[in-house]
Amino acid sequence: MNQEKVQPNGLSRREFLKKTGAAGLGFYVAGALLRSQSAFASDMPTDLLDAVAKEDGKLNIFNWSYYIAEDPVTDKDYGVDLTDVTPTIEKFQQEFNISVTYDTFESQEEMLAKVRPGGSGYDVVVFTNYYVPQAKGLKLIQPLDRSWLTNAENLLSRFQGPPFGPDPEFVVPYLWGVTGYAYNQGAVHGDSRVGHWSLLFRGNEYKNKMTMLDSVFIDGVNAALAHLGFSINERSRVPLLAAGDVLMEQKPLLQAYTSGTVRDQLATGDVLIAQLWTGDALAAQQQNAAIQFAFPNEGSDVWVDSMSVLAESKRPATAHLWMNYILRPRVAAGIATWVAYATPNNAALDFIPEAQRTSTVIYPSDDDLKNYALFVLPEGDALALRQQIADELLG
Amino acid sequence: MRSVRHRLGRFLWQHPGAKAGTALSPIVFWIALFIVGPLFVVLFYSFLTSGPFGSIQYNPTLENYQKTFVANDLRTNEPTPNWLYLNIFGRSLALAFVTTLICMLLGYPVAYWIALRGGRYKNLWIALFIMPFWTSYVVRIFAWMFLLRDPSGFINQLLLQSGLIQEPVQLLYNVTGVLIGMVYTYLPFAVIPLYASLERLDRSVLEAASDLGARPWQRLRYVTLPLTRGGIMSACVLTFVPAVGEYLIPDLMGGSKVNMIGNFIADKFLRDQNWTLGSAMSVILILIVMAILIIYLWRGHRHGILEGDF
Amino acid sequence: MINKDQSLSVELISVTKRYGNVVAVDSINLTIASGEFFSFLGPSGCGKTTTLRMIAGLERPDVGKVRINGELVNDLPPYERNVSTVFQRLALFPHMTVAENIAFGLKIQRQSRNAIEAKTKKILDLVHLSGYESRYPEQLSGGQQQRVALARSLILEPEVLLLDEPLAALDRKLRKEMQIELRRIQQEVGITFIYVTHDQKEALSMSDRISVMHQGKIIQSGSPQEIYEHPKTPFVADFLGASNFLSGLLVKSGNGFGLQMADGLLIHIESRGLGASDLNTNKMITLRPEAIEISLQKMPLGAKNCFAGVVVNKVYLGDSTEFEVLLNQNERLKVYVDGHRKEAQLSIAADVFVHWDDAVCNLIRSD
Repeated sequence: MNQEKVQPNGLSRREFLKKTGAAGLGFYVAGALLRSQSAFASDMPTDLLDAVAKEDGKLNIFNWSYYIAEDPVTDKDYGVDLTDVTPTIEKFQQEFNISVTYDTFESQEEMLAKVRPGGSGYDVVVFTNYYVPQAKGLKLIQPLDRSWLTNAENLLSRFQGPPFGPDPEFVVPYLWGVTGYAYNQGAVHGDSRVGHWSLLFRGNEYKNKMTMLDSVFIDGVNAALAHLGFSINERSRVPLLAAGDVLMEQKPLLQAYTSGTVRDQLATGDVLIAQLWTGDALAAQQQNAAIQFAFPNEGSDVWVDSMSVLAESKRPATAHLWMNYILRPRVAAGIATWVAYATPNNAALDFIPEAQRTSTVIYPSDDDLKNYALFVLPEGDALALRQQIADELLG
Repeated sequence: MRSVRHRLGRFLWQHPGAKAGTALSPIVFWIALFIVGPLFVVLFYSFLTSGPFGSIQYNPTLENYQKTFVANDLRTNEPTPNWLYLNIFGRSLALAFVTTLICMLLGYPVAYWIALRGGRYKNLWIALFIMPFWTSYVVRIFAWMFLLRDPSGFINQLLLQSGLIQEPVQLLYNVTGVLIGMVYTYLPFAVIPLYASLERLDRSVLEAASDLGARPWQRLRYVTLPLTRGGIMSACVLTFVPAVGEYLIPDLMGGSKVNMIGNFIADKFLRDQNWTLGSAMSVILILIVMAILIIYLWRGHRHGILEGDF
Repeated sequence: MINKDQSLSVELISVTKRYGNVVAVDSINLTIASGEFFSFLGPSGCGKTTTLRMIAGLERPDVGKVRINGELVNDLPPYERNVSTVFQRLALFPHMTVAENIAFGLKIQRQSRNAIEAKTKKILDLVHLSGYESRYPEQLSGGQQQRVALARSLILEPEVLLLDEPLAALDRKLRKEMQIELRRIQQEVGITFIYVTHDQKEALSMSDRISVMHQGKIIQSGSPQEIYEHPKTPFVADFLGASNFLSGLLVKSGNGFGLQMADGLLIHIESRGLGASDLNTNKMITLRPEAIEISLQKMPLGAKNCFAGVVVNKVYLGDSTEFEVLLNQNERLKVYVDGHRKEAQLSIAADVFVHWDDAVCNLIRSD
């Protein structure tokens, strides 16, 4: 699902990297500085530290690109000083003397293609919520030892179980967001359809100025189902076919199915309405103040990217150490601030800069999300039907 | 030991054919490793069964080939010819053909000019042509998208401000955009072999044609073109074959609205995690492109095209 | 040798061609008559090929005029000039058969199939290539390729045929045959041939008239005999074959003139073209080695010049022998003796006499 994670001022290079195969560049920092295990370590259970000591002191992580604090988060640039926990990997290595190899991917499909055959060598891998059941079904990931994840209590309760918590037995929520659409306030001013999917599906006057995300079989079908009044998790044939019809009718109105360049094109005014994720919309907004984000009333999906431990990992303790570290409030705040997506970590919110915490784009109100749900990737006929609809649409 | 080597040496001396075989063995090995090997893997997968979540089951089947050509209709669920696959295939061939044609029409004059008029700056000109290859393909495609967007792209702004057009023209996310991208990408593949064959062309043969009364276009038609047919053939093959399988340009510059067979097959592998069906579709793609090439080269050979390659 | 009755074929009027700082052709003036077999002779780089290419239209003169049949052609491209070229590298079309090569010009002119066939057949007869119609150039010998190139040009019945060292690539024997062949064909078709060569024997044996070129300039023009026997400059004398160069002070000698050399030798020369005003000036003469005779006795009555000398070197050349004779301990003379003469048997260190007629002494007239 071609989700794009951006830093607010940076230009995501996702599209550049996606097809060049350059994504797998390792981020390897050797010779971590030895530092006494500080008072912080007290949040780590002793048996966890004992288990980590029996492993080889290495950790291999596979995550979305631009999805961790890669630079120090300074007061000057962000309005908060989180330099004690950023750059994230460096600080982790220093504290626990673990040598981390950090690789990135550009899409869940790319990640699956590498991880699924086995032997990828990764310990911690980030799955988007709708691929978690598949990862479980394929026995790619192992159950977590919750007793080691002492900092999980910092998570908001809605991410620890229903409605937005994806399988706490197997994964730990990392960052989250919403699929809605961005629009140019100046161009659609006064249009009563703002806040509804019908703007994107019936906005004939914005012909050729609208885009949909390129992962049509998920995001396109979800939007169409919601627009028709169905749940995004609807699996029956008739509603799905109806969604396909709506998408087919919409196609002539669209400029493109895209995710990579749309943020920039919103800013220049080439695109007026674009199906998009919250963080990307914020980035566009920072370039062009006329860009607003709509959480469609009919509903859409909340997605949660979560950390998991691969079944084949030989370093489960170190993997838990990493996850429990990420769950520390300041660490989570450092990542969320740099990446500009929402953290599910309640305690972290205190450390996040005011501008982000109060942004309704990153942190929508409960009211905004009242019809929202996690998307569950169906199996069998419903999945085949979604793929067939996408084929027909893109064919 | 010595006697084995001695006897082997004598055998090779007496059988020159076998000697040629051993001399060629690095080439054979290279082809086997990098060309035949991967193809064989694809061929192998195409006869297996896909399980849930994209797992692969080792049950031999022809089902993938059947699905390549026969699909169940989305609405009636009746088996029908897989029009989607066939249509996209046809579109890919047509786009590749038009790309090749435009590349020839643009590339031949350029190659001709560099080879015959480039003087001592010939190598510089060719280097300039190859220089874009020094940067990433993806970066170059993005640069083109910045140029072509409407209305904020450079080309539209230039046309609008010079008053040549009143309304912005759509140059991206349609067939025009895909063709611009493909012609740009494959033009060097056309120019280099054309240049090589024009470079080798005996200038005095061209002078002789003029001297015998041929006007420039007659000289082109009766002498220059026939004598550079080898280069034209290579240029066509080098442009057409990769163009048929193009994936990135339709995805980015076509905005996924003008898709080619490469996108369709990539979706099978990545989105659907259906490696076996994707493999079968790839095998069919390879076979058809190979058939087109063989017919083209065979006809070219019959018409003495290869002899024209001096 | 220009016959005023004949129409002018090609005129070059102060034609100059430069390549950057190099002057390839330097202000050439020349008139070639219709039906002439004319040759440009000179060493490589002398500008002869450039001159030919300017007549063909393959190069454009920087200065001057080129006229063909009285018409100014400076601005006409090659395909609009009624001249045709046989190139040094032949430049046959490798993708066409002999017949197609020959018919190329006619096909361009869109002549009828019948006309093309008839003319091709005729021209193939002329160059003795009948039966080779469907061969490709690479299947022919060098001499046959040569004939195809010739036929391809001749079929267009040009007013002028330009030949740029067409025989350079052939071996000696084939070359001789083709020289005769070219001459025969020229006489049969009766058109102007302009021939470029660096081979003086080729030029001398085929041409009606020759221009010797050096460093972009025409040094001397004239009939082969004129040029060979009366070279105007040491360069021409040297380029057209071996020569002895003798210089000295012009003095009165009997009722004629003589050249008083520094070492005391006095050489009688013809008085033609000399006057009293030339007396006591330095002059140079050239003397062809084959014009000098060698003998053991001082005798021949006719020879005005006779000197004693000693053989210092001998080179066997097959049909003749080259001797070097030292005169007066100082002057070396090159002498050719026919192989069948008994003098050819003389050995080194033999005392001999050399003698020659005053008429064979060629006075270099210019500075």
